Amino acid sequence: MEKALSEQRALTDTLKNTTVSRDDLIKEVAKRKQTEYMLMVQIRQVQAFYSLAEIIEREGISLHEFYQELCDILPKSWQYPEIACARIVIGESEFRTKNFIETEWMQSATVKVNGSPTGRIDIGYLEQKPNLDEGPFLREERMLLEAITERLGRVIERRQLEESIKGSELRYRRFFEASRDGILILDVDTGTVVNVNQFMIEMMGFSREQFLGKKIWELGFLNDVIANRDNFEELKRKKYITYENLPLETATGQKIEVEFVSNVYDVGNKKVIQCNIRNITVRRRMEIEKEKYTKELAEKNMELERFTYTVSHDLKSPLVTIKTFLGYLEQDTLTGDTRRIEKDKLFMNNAADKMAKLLAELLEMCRVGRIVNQPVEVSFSELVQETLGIIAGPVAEKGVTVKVSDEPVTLYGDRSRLIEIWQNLLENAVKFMGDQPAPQIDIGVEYKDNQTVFFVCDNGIGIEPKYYSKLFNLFEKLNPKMEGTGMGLAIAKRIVELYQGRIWVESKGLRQGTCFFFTLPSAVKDNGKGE
Amino acid sequence: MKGEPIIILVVEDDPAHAEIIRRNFEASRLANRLLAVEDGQAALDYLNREGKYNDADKFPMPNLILLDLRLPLVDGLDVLKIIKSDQKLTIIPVVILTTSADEADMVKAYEHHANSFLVKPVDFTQFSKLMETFGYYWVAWNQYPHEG
Repeated sequence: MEKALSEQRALTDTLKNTTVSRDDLIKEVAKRKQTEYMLMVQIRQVQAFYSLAEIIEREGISLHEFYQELCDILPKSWQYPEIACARIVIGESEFRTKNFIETEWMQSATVKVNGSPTGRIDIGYLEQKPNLDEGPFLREERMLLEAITERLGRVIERRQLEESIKGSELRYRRFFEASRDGILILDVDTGTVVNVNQFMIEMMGFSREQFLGKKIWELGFLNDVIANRDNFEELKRKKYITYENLPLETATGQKIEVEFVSNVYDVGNKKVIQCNIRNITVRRRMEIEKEKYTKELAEKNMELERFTYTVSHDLKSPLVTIKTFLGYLEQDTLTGDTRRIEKDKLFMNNAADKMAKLLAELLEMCRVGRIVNQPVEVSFSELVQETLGIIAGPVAEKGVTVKVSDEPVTLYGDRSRLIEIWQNLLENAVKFMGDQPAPQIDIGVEYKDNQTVFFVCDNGIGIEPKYYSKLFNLFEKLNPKMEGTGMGLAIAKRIVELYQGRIWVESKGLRQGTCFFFTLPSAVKDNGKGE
Repeated sequence: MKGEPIIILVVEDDPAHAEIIRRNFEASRLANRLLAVEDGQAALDYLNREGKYNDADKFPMPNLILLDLRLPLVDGLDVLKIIKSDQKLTIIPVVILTTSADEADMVKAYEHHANSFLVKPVDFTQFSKLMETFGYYWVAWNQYPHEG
């Protein structure tokens, strides 16, 4: 009985204990429910992040579409999705869920891009709900909102960076294609052309296919810079090379001059070589022309200076004579010295004549350089025959034999100017025959170094080589007793130079005769050689 | 030297100007002897006693040279250069007497050790005065070393 009683007690105790356990059980259940609820909240939050990641990764989605979609999924992650609304404000733009209104029950977070506030996310409830950690919102919801806001800031940062890279890529592409430099992009390891721009294609006259995939040293036209693999390795080693005035030949055989610059630089973790090739043919031609003109101008200037000097000296000289002998004439008239009077008058007269002659020839000199008659076609023999007609008198008087070699040369120029060259040379030859018993003049044409060279040779008194350089100077007379002003050869030289030619003299010395040679490059139309 | 005439070599291509110089010296009645050549080459031949100038009595060494600048064959400045770089000729004073008053010519002449630079005046009285002063200075007053 006692045993049964004690068993009864034990059972009662157990039952008592069991009763306590039931309360605990209820608590336990509530706790579990709470945990399950929190788990559900967390699942929703994870889902929110998952959706966010999914939207970001979606190809071709714009930032605006992204904001709107994000806005639409946000309420689903809050405790009461059916009464939740959301709004995203970025700069001037605003994105809302359809049901969005501003209510008393809202929470917000600031979107920061590169550290500065750019916008915000607002989440709200449309109805009142019991107060929790932050109004009706959970602590976890605040954390979620902050996390999403931060993520959004990152997304915007990345997108902006991508846009700017895309923009600069586009700019580079436009620059590359629109550049007025030819550009080749080479693979640094192989030297293969990986890209070529339109201008390069047009400049060299090769097709894109003829460039792409070729090694740079296989292109051929750059052989002066990179003729083989070794040159390419050197270019790589130097990193930067530049060549000015590099001659190239295009596909059509046209010769152009270029400036070549090559640079090695990094693209990501790969190196490329960019070669810029600028066509400077026109610039170079203009530079060369400018140099030529500058030189010509300097020469003309010097000639003018020499001319002024000569004129001032040589015209002043007879003036000194006239003025001084006028003084003597006055004195001699007073003393009645008739012999001296005659002498004075003679000196004055000669000086005045000399002056008149100088002035006439000066005018002639100016005319030679200035007036250009209509150019005509005329043969060499025609010119010579006409000249011989003009100087027939003096030639006959001195009994000079003239030999003309008949060459089929045709000239194109100012007929009377051209005649003046031969006329001056022939007059000169006749004048300086000296006491030659069998005076002879040879007129002809010879071909030297691809040039048509005209000559007038005589067997007269000759000239010593040391006087050659003075010969063509204005008013230069080697023999002061000879008539003339020393202008003939200066005029001949001037006309020759009008036709881009050169005139020179050769003589074996005194009494050995003289040969004048000259070229007329811009007047010779046909040299009879078909050249 | 005393009492002996000063020998002047006139290098002048214009016969009229040579005549003017001759007349002025005649008028000055100074003891001198004028010798004239007409171009630069002749002047050098004379001074080197070459060719037809090899007769020392007929063509004595001058005490003074009166040199024009614009000369046929060899230019006055070249003649001056040669004289002044020749050890035995350099002591002979060279007076430039020229038509042009070109600054560059003048500078070059002095650079090549010309002893004086004169410009021919375009006036009878002035020219006469110049020659008179020249005569007094270079013939009457100036002292010359004894010949060699």
